[in-house]
Amino acid sequence: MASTDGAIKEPILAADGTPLKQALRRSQARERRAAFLLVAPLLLFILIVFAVPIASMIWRSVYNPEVRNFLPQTAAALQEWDGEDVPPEPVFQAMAADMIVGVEKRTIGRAAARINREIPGARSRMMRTAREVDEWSAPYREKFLEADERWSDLDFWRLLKRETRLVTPAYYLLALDYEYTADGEIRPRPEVYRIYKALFWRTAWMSMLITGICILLAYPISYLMATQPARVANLLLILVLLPFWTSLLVRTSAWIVLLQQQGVINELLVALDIIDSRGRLRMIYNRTGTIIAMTHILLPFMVLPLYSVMKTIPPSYLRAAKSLGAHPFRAWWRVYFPLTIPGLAAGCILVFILAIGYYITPALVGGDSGIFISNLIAQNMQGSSAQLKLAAALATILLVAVLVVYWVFNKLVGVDKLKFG
Amino acid sequence: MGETEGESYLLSDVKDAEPVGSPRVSSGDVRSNRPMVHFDKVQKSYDGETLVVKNFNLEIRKGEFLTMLGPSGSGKTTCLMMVAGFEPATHGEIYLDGQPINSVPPHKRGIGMVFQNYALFPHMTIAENLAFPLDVRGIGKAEAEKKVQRALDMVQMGDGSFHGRRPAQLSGGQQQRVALARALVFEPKLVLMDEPLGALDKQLREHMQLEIKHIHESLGVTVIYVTHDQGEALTMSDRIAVFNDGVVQQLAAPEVLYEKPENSFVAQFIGENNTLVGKVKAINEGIARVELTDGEIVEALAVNAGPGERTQLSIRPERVEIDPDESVSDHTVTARVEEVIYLGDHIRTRMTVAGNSDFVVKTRNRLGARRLDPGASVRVGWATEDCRALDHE
Repeated sequence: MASTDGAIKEPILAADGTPLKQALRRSQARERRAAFLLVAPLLLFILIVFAVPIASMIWRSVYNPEVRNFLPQTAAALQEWDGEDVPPEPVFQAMAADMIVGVEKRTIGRAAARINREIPGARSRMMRTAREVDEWSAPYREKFLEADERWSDLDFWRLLKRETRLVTPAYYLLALDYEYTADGEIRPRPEVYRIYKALFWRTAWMSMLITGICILLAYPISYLMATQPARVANLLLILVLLPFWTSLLVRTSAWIVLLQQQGVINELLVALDIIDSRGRLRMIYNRTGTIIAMTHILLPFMVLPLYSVMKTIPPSYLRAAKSLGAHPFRAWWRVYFPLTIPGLAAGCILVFILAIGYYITPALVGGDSGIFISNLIAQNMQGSSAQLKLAAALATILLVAVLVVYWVFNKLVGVDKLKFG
Repeated sequence: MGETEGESYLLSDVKDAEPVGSPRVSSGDVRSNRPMVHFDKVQKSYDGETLVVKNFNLEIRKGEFLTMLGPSGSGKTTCLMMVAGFEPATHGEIYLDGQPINSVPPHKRGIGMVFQNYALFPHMTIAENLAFPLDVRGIGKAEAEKKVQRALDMVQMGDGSFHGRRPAQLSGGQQQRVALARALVFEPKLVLMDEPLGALDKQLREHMQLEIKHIHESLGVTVIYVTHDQGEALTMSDRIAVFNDGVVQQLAAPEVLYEKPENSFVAQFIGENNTLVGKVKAINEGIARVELTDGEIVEALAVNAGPGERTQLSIRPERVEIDPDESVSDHTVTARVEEVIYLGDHIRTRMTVAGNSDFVVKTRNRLGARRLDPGASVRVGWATEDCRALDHE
């Protein structure tokens, strides 16, 4: 607070003459140190198992070392080349030198594999030439072209020049269904290969749908819990938390028993003559299955913050609103609902962010139409090094999406106002 | 609802309203004979086994300040909630201005209410809180603003610095005033108050008691006030209904309640009270001869005890004289001084009288007042009409 009379300009001193602020800081330093030491182990743990892997993943998604590291002289020589004609002698000479080193160090295969990914057949040509090159002498250009006329292919050299950069956006382009042409232009991939963007959208809208269903289911039950006596509320809470207490496989098999075409629900509907036997509903191994199962699993994350916020709202607020003449719905909308927003927003952000990265449930009950982007990330992680990098790019995009959602929430509601429990 | 009647009491200047102490029931009101609220054989049970309110009958006049007083769990708040519509009556009917309201939902009753915890909406400013009842009634913005200003003026918070604040930024007393203003801003004919001063400290509470009383007097609204504080009830009320165990023990004006309690619960609950236990020997022309436990015979007004019955005699501490002369008291008994407590304006002397060691005598601390020593033996006496023979609990 500002001094009331404005006359005090000199800093206030402690008894020994040091400025009061400094004395205060010193006296609190011990506590600060102790606090830091308390959290240090966790901090270290998070750094090692969380921050470092994420940083490495992001790096890996753009890291492109093959040409630069394994064909270093060629990479340097190509910088001079204008890309209009078959490269001049120095490029071929550099290539020959790189190949000799590469065969010795057994690294040439990795460079060849990298090129082969975009120009099929390039690998076998490179490997064959590499085996012979140590017997050749200058001028190399003729020797190369003699051995295989495809060495005059301009696309090959353009690709090589493009890939000399250590950092490449290629995997991100791929993750968004674009590709590089050999001469560095970006264009959409052929229609049959475009899967990732659609899957991102599907992941997003299905997560939103799941969040919405969770709100519809959680709001009334939370209200009930908040207004019931503790005994009833605890029982309801246990029922809500039940999904956490059952094993994933038990839960999934329960859903299969219930939802499959020969399952309980279908049999019941057939028995009641609501549907005929040929019109049995498909409720599992598709989108419906993913939505039902994930809503069930994520519901507690909506209920808990809502419940904890609603519990703090005294019933007298609603009574007051009604006594002031507001219709019960209006009383709820004007008075009760605004007070639950911190819990509602916390629930939404929890459910949505968990849903958007969910893997196991879509994999088990999602079939083809119900899988999420995480399932493709997982699939790519088991593949070659290039697929691994694609997986890293996809995962990084997902991470950024989550951060954006968080940022938007912060703008709309204010994260400091959220109440998670 | 209230505001359609055209009697906009907030739009007339409050300062110029009826002077304090004027008759509270306006004589021009043709319906003034009809009670504002009428409880007709109302019963309430929560569990179907015990009655929280047992056969409650009460008529509250228009413009009256009626307090429901009683210990917690005596059914007073339940009665208030039944008027407000938050609790249904299990049996019986409540009439509001002649209309049965059992099936009218709370928001259509048009009753103002002040809650114990104020129940100000925390996400709205003070002005928004006050405008809420006007807004739901579809009152135009300009008129609403005027009414909000009037209501805030009335509770002395109209200087403009409070309009934009949130309830959490106000002190307890200020929140209480806002809650009061909000309950009055839509000009209800009836205002319910559920222990509204319970959370305030003693000094503020006493100040607010007078302020609420003055607002009531100047507006002429009917108020039903619930409290467990007997001092508060005595200060503010026109009439007090003393509740115990789901039954109204006595319904009377404050001075009647204090000076003429009808049973020993009321005598104990309202004010300080000395109790002597004895047995009624005989009753003659309304005067009972009572034999105390130590065998002494005293006379008392026979209020609530028959011949041969055990009785509790009730005597107010300030009506007892020490060493009285014959003209003041009809009767004296022996007492032994146990303790003398000096309280500045008065002195309390605790004595043993007829086996009761909690017999308190209050004497004014006037010039030359006699100070007794513990252990001394004195005579104490009182007028027969100050000693009431009541039921034995």
